[in-house]
Parts: sequence; structure tokens; C-alpha cells
Amino acid sequence: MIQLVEISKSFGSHVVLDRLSFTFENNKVYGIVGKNGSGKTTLFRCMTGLESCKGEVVSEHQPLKNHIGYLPTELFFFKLMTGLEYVRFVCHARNKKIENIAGKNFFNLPLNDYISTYSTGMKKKLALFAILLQDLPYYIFDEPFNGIDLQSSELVLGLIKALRQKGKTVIMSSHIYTTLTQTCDEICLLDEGCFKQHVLKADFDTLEQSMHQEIVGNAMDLLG
Amino acid sequence: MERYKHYFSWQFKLFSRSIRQFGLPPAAGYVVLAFVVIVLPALLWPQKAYFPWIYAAVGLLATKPLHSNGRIEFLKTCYSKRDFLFLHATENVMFVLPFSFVLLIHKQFLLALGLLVIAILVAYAACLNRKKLNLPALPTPFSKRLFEFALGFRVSFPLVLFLYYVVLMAIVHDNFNLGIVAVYAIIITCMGYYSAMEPDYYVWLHNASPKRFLFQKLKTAILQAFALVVVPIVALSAFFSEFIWILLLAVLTGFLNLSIVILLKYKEFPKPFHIGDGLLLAACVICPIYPPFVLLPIPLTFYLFGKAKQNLNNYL
Repeated sequence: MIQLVEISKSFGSHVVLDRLSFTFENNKVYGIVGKNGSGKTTLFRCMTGLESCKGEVVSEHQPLKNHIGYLPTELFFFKLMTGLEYVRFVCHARNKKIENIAGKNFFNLPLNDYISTYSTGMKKKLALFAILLQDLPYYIFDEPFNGIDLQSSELVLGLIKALRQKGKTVIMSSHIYTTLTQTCDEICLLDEGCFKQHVLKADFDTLEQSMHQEIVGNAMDLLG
Repeated sequence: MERYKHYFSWQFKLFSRSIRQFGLPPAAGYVVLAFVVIVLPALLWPQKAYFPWIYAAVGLLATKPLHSNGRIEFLKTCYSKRDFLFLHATENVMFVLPFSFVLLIHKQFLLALGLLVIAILVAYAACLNRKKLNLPALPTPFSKRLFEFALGFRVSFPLVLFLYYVVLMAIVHDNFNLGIVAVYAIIITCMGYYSAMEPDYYVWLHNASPKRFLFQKLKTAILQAFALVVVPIVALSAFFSEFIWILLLAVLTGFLNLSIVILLKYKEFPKPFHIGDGLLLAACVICPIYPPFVLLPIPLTFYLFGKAKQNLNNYL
């Protein structure tokens, strides 16, 4: 369980998160949606401890950061690092001894090649692979479907469902709503610094319609 | 002409911002650069046959930031081939011009001209469509403990091999000073491996306290640096046994400086190094030349360890 208690974060005078409180229960998949700049990435960084914030992040696992597998939306890799070295580095940093990394390569990545030769989608898959190998209780994925092909998207969807079956908690953001409806137990709409709505499966379509109406309806009004 | 003027004014702004990021007001930064590149070499020109070549090489190296793939590709998409060639050649020439000027003062006419010609030829080379060579990853003995040495070694191994050759020449020509400088240069090369700042995520990942993280970094760095210098040390010790204590002192100072660069990095993390750090590091690197200051790195290491540990509390 991860409980957010009055999380607030500002950058200068710009308030990004405003006393956001929510509880992510164990063994569930949560989707976070919101406009660009609504604070999804900031929320994830506050939860992981990468960003300082007011309020509290409470969990039965402490220190929480060592129990979260976090996939950032913007990935950085050193040019002259191979895929295998990156995975080894991540596992070693987390004190995880993983035998036969190459044998577990379910994305079929060329692990012995420099990461600089990877496509955008391959880099995303590499980062995901390194995180999943750690077998942690919580996973936070920021836009996990960005840049990956259709087949790999299906694989990621399957992986997320499998993580839930294994008792993991997954929190993810995505601009592709169908990826959330296929995997999530609950979807939260982040707007004006807090969760304006959070709906269960039965109301996923209603939420989508209300978001569509607000975004497209407003744009059509501006076009006149 | 307007677009050329706009380009150079934009580049000037970017360069000034990078000086400001280093911790200096841009005007002061330009004055310091002019002093270091032009005035100092003009006044202190060593009378060694190889020095003009080293100076010219430094001039060429100074243009390296202009040739990064991403930058070249971006400029090619923004400008026509002719405009790109003119702009890139001009900025290369502007960078090497101060070096050419100093070479001219010291009557190195051919080298001064050659430097300008190479700067222009490099711009022509950038115009060619380069085939991407997907070379296999270079194996390295440092992959087990990642990542600085593994990556740094891949970039610098020709230099390290050259320095091994210099040690060999030092032994052949009975020149201990050359040998000790080469060994110290290997350690300085290792210091360069820690100049790139990784994103905060790469530190946050670690399941370790700040103290343990730093100890691990320092231990890995010193062991891997030792692996690089052990052969030259043993070779020099065998042929210059009477100077072994000087050699060991130089190596110890080198390892202390290596520790200092790591601690400086994490004291500032994730911000890049600034001018104060650079000056401090330069002082530590040259302190072996001045025996009273050779022990300066020791108390500094303890001080910086405390500061780095405090800073890393934000991430670990």
C-alpha cells in the first residue's frame, strides 16, 4: 500500500500538486491520466523521492524508494554502454543478483550491442526489462507505451496483467486510454494539482467521454 | 548575411550561458579564456620541439564540441549545404584562430596555417554523408563494476596504450621523470571518466546509504585505476628502484586526486562542476610539483566526503 497524504509541490509560483491525498492499495493496477503539464511525472517523482515535496508518502515498505521499480518517461543511456551492462548496473545498484540475464531476455534485445544503436522503442524495452528483473512490490511506469511497436505493446500489457497476478501494485500513466482500460482496476484523473476523479472499471467509458467532451468540445468552440 | 549574423549571435549566447553555468560572468570567462589560451602560452612558451604540436593539438581538440553528431545533424536540417559549410567552417576557424595567432608569434608558420586548413577540412568532412558504422562493443575488463571506467576506457584506451608506450620509452631511455609523468597521466585520464554527470535516476537507483554509495564508488575507482597502472608501476620500480618511494607518492597523490574528483562530483550532484571546483582540482593535480602542498588532498578528501554525503541524502 502507498498512501499519499496532502502531497504538494510547487516550482516557484507554479503549483503543480495541491494537497493531493490518495491510497494505492496492494495488488492493483492504477492508471493516471491528465493533460500535458498536469503533474503526472512530478507526482511520480515525489512518490519515488526523486523530488522533494510537502506532505507524506506512507508505505509498509521502507525506505519506499528501494521497493519501487520506476520507469521514467525520458530515458538516459550512456552511448558506449551495452544493453547487458545497463541491466547489470541496475541490478547491482539494487543489490539484486540476477543469474543468466541473457536467458531471461523476453524482449529479444541485442544485449551485447551498444545502446546507442538501439531504436527509441528498444531503449524503452531495455529500461523496462531492467526494472522487471528486480521483482519489486511496486512499479511506477511513466508512459510505458511511448515509442514501442504494436507487438511489444501487447507484450507490455500482458506483463502488467501478470504483475497484478503476482500480487504487485502497478501505477502508470498513459495517453493511450485503451491501454489503461485493458489493464487498470482504477483510473485517476489528475487535474489542477489533485485527483479530480477516480473511477472503477464500470465507469471507464464515462470518464473517457467526459474528458473527450472537455478537450474536443472546448477546441471546437475555439474554432467557431 | 542576416542568417549568418543571427547564427553567430545565437551561438555566442549559448557559449556565454555555458560560461555562466560554470560559475563565471561571461565577460570574466572570456577574459580568463583569452589569458589561458593566448597570453599564458605566449609568455611561457617552453623551448621543446614537441610543444608547438601539443599546442596545435589542443587547438584542434577545442573544436570537438562543434562536431558532435547531434549538433551537425541538427544544423544540416536547418541550413542548406552551402550555408552549413560556410557556418561550420567559420566557427571552426574562429575556435582555432587564437591558437594559430600564438603559433605565428612563435614563428611556427606552417603549423599555424595547417591548423586553419584542418579546421576548414573538418567542416568539409562533416558535409559528407557519413555511413553509420555499427562496430561491435569493445570488451573491457571493467564491465563487472559499472559504469565510469567501463565507458571511459572505451573512449580513452588509445591514450592509455600510448602512455604505456611512453613508460616503455622512459625505461629504454633511462628517463624516470618521463615514466612517472606517464603514470600520473594515466591516473589523470581516469579522473576524466568521472567528469560526466549522470541523471539523478542513476544515483536514486542505488539501494545504499550515501556513505556506502561513496565508499563503493571510491573503492571501485581506486581498484580499477590500480589495475591500469600496476604494470607501469612494477616496470618502473624494477628499473628505477632507487626512486620507488617517489613513484609510490605520485601514485598515492593521483589516487587521492581521483577520490577528490569523485567527491566533488557528488558534492555538486546533479549540478555540473563550476569554476571553484575546477580551480580546486587543478590545484590538487599540480600540487605534487610543490612538495609543501603534496599533502593538501588528504584533509580535502575528508571535508569533501562529508559534503558529498550530505548532498546525497536527497537521493539515497
